[in-house]
Amino acid sequence: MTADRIWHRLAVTAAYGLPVFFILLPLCGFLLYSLFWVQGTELHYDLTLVNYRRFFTEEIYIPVLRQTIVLCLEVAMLCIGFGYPVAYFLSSLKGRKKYTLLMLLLVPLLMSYIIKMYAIRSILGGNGFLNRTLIALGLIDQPLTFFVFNLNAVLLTLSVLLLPFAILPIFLSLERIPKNLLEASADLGGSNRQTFFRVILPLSLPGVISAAAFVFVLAIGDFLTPQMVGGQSGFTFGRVIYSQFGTAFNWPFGAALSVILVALVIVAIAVGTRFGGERARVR
Amino acid sequence: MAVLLELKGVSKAFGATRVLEGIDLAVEDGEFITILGPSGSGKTTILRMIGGFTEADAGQILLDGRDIAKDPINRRPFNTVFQDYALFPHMTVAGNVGYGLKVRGTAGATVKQRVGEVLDLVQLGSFAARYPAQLSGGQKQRVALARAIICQPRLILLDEPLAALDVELRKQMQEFLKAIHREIKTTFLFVTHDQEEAIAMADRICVMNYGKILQLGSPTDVYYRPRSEFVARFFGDNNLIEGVVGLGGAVETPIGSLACASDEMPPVGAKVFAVIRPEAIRIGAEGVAGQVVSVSFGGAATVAVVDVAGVMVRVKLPSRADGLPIQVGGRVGLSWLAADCRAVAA
Repeated sequence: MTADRIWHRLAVTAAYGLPVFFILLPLCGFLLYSLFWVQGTELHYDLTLVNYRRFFTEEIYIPVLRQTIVLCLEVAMLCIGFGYPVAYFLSSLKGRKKYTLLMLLLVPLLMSYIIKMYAIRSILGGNGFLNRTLIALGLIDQPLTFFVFNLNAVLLTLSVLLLPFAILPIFLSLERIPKNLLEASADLGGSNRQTFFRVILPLSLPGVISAAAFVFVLAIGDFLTPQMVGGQSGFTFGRVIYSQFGTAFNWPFGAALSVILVALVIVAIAVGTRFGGERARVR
Repeated sequence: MAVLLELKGVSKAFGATRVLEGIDLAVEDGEFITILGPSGSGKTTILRMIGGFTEADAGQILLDGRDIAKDPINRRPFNTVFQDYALFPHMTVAGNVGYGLKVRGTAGATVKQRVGEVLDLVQLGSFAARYPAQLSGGQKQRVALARAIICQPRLILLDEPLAALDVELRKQMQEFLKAIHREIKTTFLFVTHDQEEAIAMADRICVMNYGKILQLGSPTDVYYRPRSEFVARFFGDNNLIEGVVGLGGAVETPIGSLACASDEMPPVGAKVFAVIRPEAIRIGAEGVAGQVVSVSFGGAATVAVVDVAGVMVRVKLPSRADGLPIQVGGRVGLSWLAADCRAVAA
């Protein structure tokens, strides 16, 4: 065998082996673990569906999951709502300015997640920037508790943290629209508004859906943000899973909840790929 | 014919590059005019200025005598067939073709009816529900044309629309475009870099180079009566024989004193080219004597290169199955009609 072929073999093995070893196998481990059960502090290794039954029969889990899904959909919508205009503005710029601003937009991704969360917490908090500004403007007399340690805080924080992940796919889908389509629309008599709603928006929709799927998936798996800014009422599914591993020490049940979450994420990604991305563009 | 559109002193520079310099051009109502030039000649810039995609630095663009240079794209009664079609990928053929009417708020039933009519005209009646990705190049081209004519514009701008098609299909599309032009009688302004295409299609050809109009005239005009060296060289493999204008108005060249026709003969002593089309030259016993250097068979025509006093003269002869009576190395005489020899300034 020549050196080239050995390298080729190695590269192929790594390309398939690494995801299998680091992603697929652990997931299978989770699946297996979710079929074990716990009594007291003792782990039983016989296979059972008792954990899944518990999820569907006990009254708290499905409402928390539903609330979390709604929350993450709201995060996705907020990110799209704020991200689309930014992406549109960016793609309308020319030359170096466009990419400089894009880079600046991505700088927050380089910062630690925890630091960003503390920063946002101090902005939203009772004595934070937001409340002080509102008081200074005379809009309110007392600091509002509306923004922190509840679901609103989780919503706002996740949206701010995940905004770049929404802007990028939308920006890319806008960039890919050939400029002559916009010229063609204007040439045929379309106003800027008509060009936007009839040409730009439909053609960027795959990017919007990808962005939504992206944000949704990242938001739904997050347990740290609700933990830090959610307080007592900002309870999400991620925190439930975390508590099963961390405080309840019921790993099989936590694994079962994780498997359910993974199933949900797979559905979200499937929707994202079916209606977003490249394939939806060219029929 | 009445003048539809007039360009007066239109200039444009991109940075330090001057792409158009004082262009004056009158487009007549109903004609098929072709702007012909090599890449970088400014031909597409003219089209884009008329369409409103590019703003002129100076000059006027008059439609029916009114300056439209500042009108936005969507207010100009012109429609464009883009080089790479620019069909909306997310709309069906019917959606694409009906777009111009829809944005004007035309009622749905009318749009449907007109789309049907126009698609029939371009022979794509059964393709209404297809998407652009499901069409061949020629079909996309016809959709682009249908989309441009449906709003009955005053002028249709065609930006090298056939450049992406293969030779056979291009010939068909040329015929097709001509037929559509005869049918709808709208003015066509067609931009191309292909001389044969321009000659085959246009009522008038406007030859451009380096941002200037070199000659404007009928295909036979620019082909047989070039006014500049560039135009003479641009159409086919012309013979350009260097010389000076002699006292009697003849051009003195290394191969002899040639009687040349010209619209405006340069003054005596001026450097000129005597231009003779290769197919206008006859080979026989009489005329300018020379030696055959090469004979190459090229299908319909055979090209012989004849050395006349050191000047290589190309002669294009109709091919014959039993061969032509000329041999490499043979001595021949070249002759032509005086009208086929033109003088252009060097």
